Amino acid sequence: MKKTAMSLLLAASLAAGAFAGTTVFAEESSSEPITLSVWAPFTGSDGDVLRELVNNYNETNEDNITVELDIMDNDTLQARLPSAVSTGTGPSFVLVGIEFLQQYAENGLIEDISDFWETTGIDESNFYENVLEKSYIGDTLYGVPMQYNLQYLYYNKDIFEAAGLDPEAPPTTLDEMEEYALACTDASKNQYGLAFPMDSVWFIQYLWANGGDVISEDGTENLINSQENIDTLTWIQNLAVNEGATPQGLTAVDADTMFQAGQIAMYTSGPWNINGLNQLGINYGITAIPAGSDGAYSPEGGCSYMLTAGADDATREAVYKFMAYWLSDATLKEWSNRNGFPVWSYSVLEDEEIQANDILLDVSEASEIGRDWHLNLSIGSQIDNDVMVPMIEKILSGSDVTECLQEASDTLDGIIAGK
Amino acid sequence: MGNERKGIKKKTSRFHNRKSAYLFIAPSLVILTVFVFIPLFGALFISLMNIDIYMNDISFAGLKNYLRMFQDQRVGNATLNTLYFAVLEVPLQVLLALLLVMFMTKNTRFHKILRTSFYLPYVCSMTAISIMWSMLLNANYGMLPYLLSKLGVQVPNLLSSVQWAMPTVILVTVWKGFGYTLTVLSAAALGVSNSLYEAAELDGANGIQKFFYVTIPGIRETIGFCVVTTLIGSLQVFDQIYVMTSGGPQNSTETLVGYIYNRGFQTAPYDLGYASAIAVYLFMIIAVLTFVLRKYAFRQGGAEE
Amino acid sequence: MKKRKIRLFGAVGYVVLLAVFFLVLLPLVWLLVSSFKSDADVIKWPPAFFPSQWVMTQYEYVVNTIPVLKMLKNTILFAAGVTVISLFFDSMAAYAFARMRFKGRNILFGIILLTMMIPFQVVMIPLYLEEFNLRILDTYAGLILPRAASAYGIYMLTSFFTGIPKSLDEAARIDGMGEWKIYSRIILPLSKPALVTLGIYHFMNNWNDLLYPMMLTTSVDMRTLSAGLAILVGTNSIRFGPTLAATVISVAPLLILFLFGQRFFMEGIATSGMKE
Repeated sequence: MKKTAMSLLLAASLAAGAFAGTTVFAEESSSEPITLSVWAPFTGSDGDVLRELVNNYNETNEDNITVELDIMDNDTLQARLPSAVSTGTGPSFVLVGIEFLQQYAENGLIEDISDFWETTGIDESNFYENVLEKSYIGDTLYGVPMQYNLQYLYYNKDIFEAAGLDPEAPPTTLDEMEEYALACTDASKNQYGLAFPMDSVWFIQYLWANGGDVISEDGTENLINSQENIDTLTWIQNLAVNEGATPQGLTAVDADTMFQAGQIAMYTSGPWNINGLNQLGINYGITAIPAGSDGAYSPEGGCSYMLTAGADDATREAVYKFMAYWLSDATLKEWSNRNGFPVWSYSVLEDEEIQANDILLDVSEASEIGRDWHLNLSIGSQIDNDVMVPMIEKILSGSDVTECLQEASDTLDGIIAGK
Repeated sequence: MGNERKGIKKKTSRFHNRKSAYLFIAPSLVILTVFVFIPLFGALFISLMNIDIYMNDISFAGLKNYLRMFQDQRVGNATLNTLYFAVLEVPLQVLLALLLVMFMTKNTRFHKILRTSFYLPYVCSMTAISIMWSMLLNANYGMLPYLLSKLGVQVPNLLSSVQWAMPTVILVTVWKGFGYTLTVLSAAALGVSNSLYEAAELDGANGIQKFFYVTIPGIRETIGFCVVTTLIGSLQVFDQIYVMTSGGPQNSTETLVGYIYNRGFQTAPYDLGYASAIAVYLFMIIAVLTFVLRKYAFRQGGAEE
Repeated sequence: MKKRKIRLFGAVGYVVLLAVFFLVLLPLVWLLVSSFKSDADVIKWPPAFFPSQWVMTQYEYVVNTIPVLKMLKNTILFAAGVTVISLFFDSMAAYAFARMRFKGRNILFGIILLTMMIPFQVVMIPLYLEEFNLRILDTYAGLILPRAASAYGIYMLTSFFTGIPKSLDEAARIDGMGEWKIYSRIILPLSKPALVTLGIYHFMNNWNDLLYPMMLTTSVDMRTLSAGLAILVGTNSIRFGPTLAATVISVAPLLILFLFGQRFFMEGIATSGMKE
């Protein structure tokens, strides 16, 4: 009821008639043509492959289904979706990061699709459990995974070779990474061993590697202000400020760009750059995030298809069919092969072409150290935007690490307390 | 000109064409009421609520959102940044345009070409211009720092420096916008009667004197219009900052609209109520500044007689 | 002595004008030239002004990814619709404010000015819900109507109309002309330069607007060209090469229009020299 209070207020003041909960997609039976719309924040080069696969579906499916892909910036998508769904003018389904699944479900933006496996007859056990479980809340399924990924260490083999390093032996520990980074850094050539952006949370894996953490998994305990984190962040600051192993004042987009231009020897990123790097012909390799004193970890991420709330039966049926198309061996294989996303389907894993794809094998191998980074916490984006980014900005510009951590910890306390 | 107008006013005041005046205004008023004021009242209503972007569990919050603003350092920071931007951007843009108008009072072919070129940046979208300048200025791969370093000048990474990010954003804004101000001002300047210039020339005035004693008084009202509208626009600055710095580094370029967007749409818990309260606060700042400026600096404004 | 001063003034003028000219033009030439670079060329280090090889791939990419023609049609309908209607409504209101006396004039003018001071980000959610209730969401009407009158235009034209000698309409009134005729037969023709300036302003702003058409359209079919840019520019990634090409594509029609209309535009200004 309350959801429409706002609309009603406006409607009343306009005397423009009562609130009408009509949905846009009111098709009766599935044999009739149906158009589905899907919103997705795939603005990178992986969006090209997604578009191709959607087009391919539109041309080949025999159910008269047309999927209209609407790609937009993630911020815009998040701003538009709630009011669009509450007025029934939203897309038929969305493709967004799994970190949104929990809050979408809590706020009634997406539908329970627990009957998906039964309806489509797809064997659930063919897929990695750790990937599927991220689309579940309890026993209820809210999304069908589209892709799964971690962060990986990209390295430029040409720079390695020129610096006298073995291009087939990327670093496996943080100490090695530091050593190689210094060997590859040559500021006079505008070439750097590493890339530490100041506008993203690329360093959580290093905090974990040395035994540190930020917040407990249930989101109630503040763990950021620890000696381990002080040590790790001091190490990062030393590399950036004293050793000059990374360009100053870098953004995440800059880091991508500089690696693509061959100016960076090593940096961490998700697999979405692989397609672009292949097209540019960069001689690069991918390996797992190096280990620290406590081991090697990498934050998990992924995207799922979610059915928008208020979908009628025909829409639901059609969306299921598209989701099933995505889970087919051919589609998943194409996606992984082209974009380098790790395979998470047992049947695709056995495919010969997949087995012959070196980058993909490296990625799959590097995908075994996944760890959950506040994916299920509704305060996740707040931790990133208000705690982690301001902290790393200051540390990279040379501020006192202990003070920065204290400040970050105070802010985090406030967020946990719900202020 | 002012005197003459007052003289005429007395005569015309005999005409009390009231009813038809309202008919002339009605279409605009209806549009603005329906599509600006009603949504604004919507925002005002939201600012008094505990409400997030999902609009579930709405409850009345009273002035809570407003009170919270006073304890939020980032609101103060964003206010200062917004004023910093406006205080630098508005004079720069208007003065640069005026300076160029001074040299471009003739309508020669050369001046026409210049006017067209200066207008070009304005034709492009802010997003595109911002991306272009981010690329050109980037210290690590940009064209400009590279060329300057060849000349022996080392440029810091302007957009990621706490000190330089805001001035850089301001300069890019001026770069994009001055052409429009110039067009408006030169349209007005070309309208200043030639006989006034001739009279000034007879008095032995040189180019600069003619500009200050003939052109400027002749276009005073248009200058006032440009200042007021540029100010209103600059207090709402968002696009270029969103693209070039996203408010960073260390919030040094975070403006009020940027912070509103950040709280309402970018950061959990997507607090629409709080974002709207900041918006109402910004609205009041703009309104007060505009009316004070109009009242004291530009008495000649259209309806102020 | 005097002559030397004039020459000095002229010389300084030329230097300043040329300096600004190059400052404005060079980045734009870079933009144009770079839109013919390959992906690798755009981000190459060390950077080069000209492409190592001129390619059309960025344009091909944009045309293949974005339904350029459909979006162009939407953009023209939206921008032209707003421009025409808004010029009409703005000039009517401005006429009343500048040439007529009536009760509540200053207050009404102040209220209209207030509407300029509201950032779109603040009202976009209420506006979305309102358009939904009016059933004009995702339609041309929904895009055009909220912009069909503008405080900026009313303010600008009011300033301009105030400057037109009142003796003109006074004479007309004595001849028995009604307000509508004075407005349409005397004031509007005299205001051509201001109307053209404002028309271009409306046209460009709406042409280039991104968030507004993005918020108020729910289907790809209704998207405008600049909102099409959104496919290339994301929070976490920017496709530099295609973005440059898309910018050129979206600006080109405006540029042609501007160059084409400029004659009319500047001539209009020249004839308004009879202001006083």
